[in-house]
Amino acid sequence: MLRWRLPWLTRKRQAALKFSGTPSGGLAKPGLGPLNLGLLLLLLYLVAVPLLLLLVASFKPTGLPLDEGFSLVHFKAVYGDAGFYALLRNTAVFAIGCTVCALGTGGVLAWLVERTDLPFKGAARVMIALPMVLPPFLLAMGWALLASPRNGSLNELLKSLLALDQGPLNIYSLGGMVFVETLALVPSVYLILAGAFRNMDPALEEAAMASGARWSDMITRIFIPMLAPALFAAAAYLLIVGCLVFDVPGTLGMPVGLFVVSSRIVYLATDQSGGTSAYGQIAAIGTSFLLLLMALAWGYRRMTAQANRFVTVTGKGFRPRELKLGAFKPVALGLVALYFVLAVLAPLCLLAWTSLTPYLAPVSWEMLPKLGLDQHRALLQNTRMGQAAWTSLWVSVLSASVVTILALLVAWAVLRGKGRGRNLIDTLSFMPLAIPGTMIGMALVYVYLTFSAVPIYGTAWILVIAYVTVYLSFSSRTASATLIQLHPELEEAARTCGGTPAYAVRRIVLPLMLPALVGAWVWVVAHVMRELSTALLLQGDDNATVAVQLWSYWSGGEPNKAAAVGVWLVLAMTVVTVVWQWLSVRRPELAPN
Amino acid sequence: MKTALTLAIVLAVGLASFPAAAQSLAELASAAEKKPPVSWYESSPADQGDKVIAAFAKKHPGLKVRQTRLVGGNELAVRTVQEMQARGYTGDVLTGGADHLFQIKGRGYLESVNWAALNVPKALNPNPFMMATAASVYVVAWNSKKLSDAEAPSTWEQVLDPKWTNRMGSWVRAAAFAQLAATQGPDTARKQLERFIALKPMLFKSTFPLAQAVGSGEIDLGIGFYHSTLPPMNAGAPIKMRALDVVPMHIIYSGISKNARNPEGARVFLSWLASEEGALAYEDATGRGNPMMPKTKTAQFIKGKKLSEWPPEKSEELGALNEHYNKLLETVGAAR
Repeated sequence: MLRWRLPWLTRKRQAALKFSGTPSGGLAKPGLGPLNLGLLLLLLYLVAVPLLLLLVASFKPTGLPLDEGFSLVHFKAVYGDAGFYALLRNTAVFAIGCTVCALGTGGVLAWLVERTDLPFKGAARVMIALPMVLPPFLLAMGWALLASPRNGSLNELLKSLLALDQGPLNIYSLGGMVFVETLALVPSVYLILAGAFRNMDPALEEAAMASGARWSDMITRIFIPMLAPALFAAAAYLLIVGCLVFDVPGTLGMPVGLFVVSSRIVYLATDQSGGTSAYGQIAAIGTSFLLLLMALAWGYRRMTAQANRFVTVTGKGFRPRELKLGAFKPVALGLVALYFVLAVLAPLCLLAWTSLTPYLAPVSWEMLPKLGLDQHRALLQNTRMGQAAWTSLWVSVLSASVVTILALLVAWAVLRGKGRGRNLIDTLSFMPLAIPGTMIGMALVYVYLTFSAVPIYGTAWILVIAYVTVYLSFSSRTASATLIQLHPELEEAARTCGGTPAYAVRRIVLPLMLPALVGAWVWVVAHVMRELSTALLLQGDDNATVAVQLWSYWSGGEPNKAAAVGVWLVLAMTVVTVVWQWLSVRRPELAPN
Repeated sequence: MKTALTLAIVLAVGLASFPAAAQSLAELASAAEKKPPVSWYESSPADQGDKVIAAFAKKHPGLKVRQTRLVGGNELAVRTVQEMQARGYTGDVLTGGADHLFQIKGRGYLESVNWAALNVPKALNPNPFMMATAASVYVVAWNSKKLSDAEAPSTWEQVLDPKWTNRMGSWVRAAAFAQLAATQGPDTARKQLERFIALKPMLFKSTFPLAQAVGSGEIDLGIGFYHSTLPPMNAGAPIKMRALDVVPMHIIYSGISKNARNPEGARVFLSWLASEEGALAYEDATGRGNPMMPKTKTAQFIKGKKLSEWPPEKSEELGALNEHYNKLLETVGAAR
């Protein structure tokens, strides 16, 4: 019970404590505790129910959990098909490519912003966070307009500048898919790693530099070991997302016959022949991701078992200080600006252009007289759009707030709690990542149709439940990765001085975790704003969100209106992030440093 | 003389039945107004659905209809089954493809309807459970700045000409070829598909972005749908389209669910959709017209052409062909 609270004990002594349970060995093993019990019940309800339905669906001949009979036919159909393994190969290349590139790019950006004296940090944070709000399919559409080999604007420019016969860029390729997905994932990596970088004691780097260590030594011997939990959490998140995401592969891979597993899932859900979605096969695919995720969760727990290895914020000697960039400042600023240009400015310019044209058309002088504000005008006059914006706003704010509180409680129970069931809580909070959004949607339809005592089916409240489930994994990893760096002696000092545990959390833990929690909150808000697959499945009479409306325009042959929505979304998110930065200046506890 | 007598009897019976049906519809409408709004499960974007409902409201101002947009027919079938299993009722009017409605009918969730009593022409209802509302009709669309009318193909043989290699686009599903098999035979259609794959077409998740890609010049031509080519055309994009010598199509059907909360309203609504006024309003809003209603633009567009479609009772056979052909089309990546 005390082994997490007494980090100064030797490992041998801790092992002895683990064996005896308590220092005296005479006290009973800790019970579940009210916090753990409450969390377990809530997580079982939120996560285990859809999970159970996923497993049951995978064994049902029709793929619908309430139908009769059991069968292995879906596993045979999925894993007995040689084509599936070809999809897996493409998926692995795509997912690993995105993971490596996004970790590298996001890691460098997080380090620059959080650990160096980079100028204009507030602006830099806004520039890195903004791509979050741009739905990836709009980002992909923007890049298709920029770098399509036949008529992409960038290719046309390069052709004329370099006197080439053909455009040198081809966005319709595996490389193009990885590039665009990386741009979309970098803000998530940044938010996971920023908190961890922020809480690293610069004394470590300074000591290394004073000892003449090279950069490669610092990366391999300081950054990676100290950031391991956050890096692992980010990598696990990216890997699973890379396997399940459809927007970018669907927009840039499918046109040239590059299919991945997510293409198969979407096909099985929407285009499967025979008149019904093949939920059985989707569930059978989902179970492999569950296994992969359980392996990742097991690895994560093993790695973080010695939690005090990663503690960097202690009661003594923590000095958040910035590394001087010196002559490299312009280069560092250039890197942040380059990311902003590639992830936001360039595609946004194309989206803005598209929102002004009456139909999809490449940038040309010829189109200039046809530009107009008709799409924007129609959008602003559309009452459905106003209603959808309001639904998106309150659903995203509420979901993000609930998720953030829940993530904090999960992190606290797992890393600081005494009770049993911590491993289960940790695993359950990670699991939703592996359940395809369509399956969560299907499970919730059943749950709330069956439990009619909770009349939320077809309302926006069912979306809140869905999003709390879907985004818990990201937020709980972020919260855990930050809390693991805070030494428990900080809270113990507060208690020694007479503070209650709640006081210690409120005055010490929360302020230190706040930047990371606020980051996770903003991340969830942005992702709920753009989430589509679950929102579509749970659509009722009046719970349409902006993303659903946006997709409605896109799928109804009005990409120009969809582009206009994208432009307004980015503008709205710019306002949110600028206000966040402004508040950070006025309220230092919100500021990352 | 005998023929004239028969015609006279048919005419007399027909004329006599119309007031009765009209009266019956008026009674249905009156009963429907006292019940909850008619719940309509359909796949058109909400803005388009609103236009259809507004046109219906002009005729029946006291009868409310609410559309729930279910994307694609598969979701219609799954949602309907889930709702029926869990709470015993679902949307009142269900609109989707033949295979989707057959799934629902197979579980006994569709109501048998006397369509004649609702003034629905016999040609629209292949069985008591469903009536044809519209159709997705395949066309060839081309960028008029890149191809002249004379250069654009007008037969499938011309579509499959190797000169279109790397210039062609298509829906990611090979459903056009599966429907072609209804008249050409599965082997011929498969060979045509293989020749089509050799053209290395760009594949699109939906035919709407396909049409936009033709308009923007990303591809020179594509095999898409009539209704999804209309939006960029109407917006002024340089696109033209025509029906090929054989026109594959999918009829969209509607049915009334068992235990509907407003079955009277559902009947009145479907009766209106089957009328010329309703069919034209639906086509005006969604671009998808009913090819069996002569005054629709869709019917006029395909007039005189050979149509190719599997009958609804052969949905399973069509499903198997689709499955096979889709796998073939996925090899486009390897063809590159």
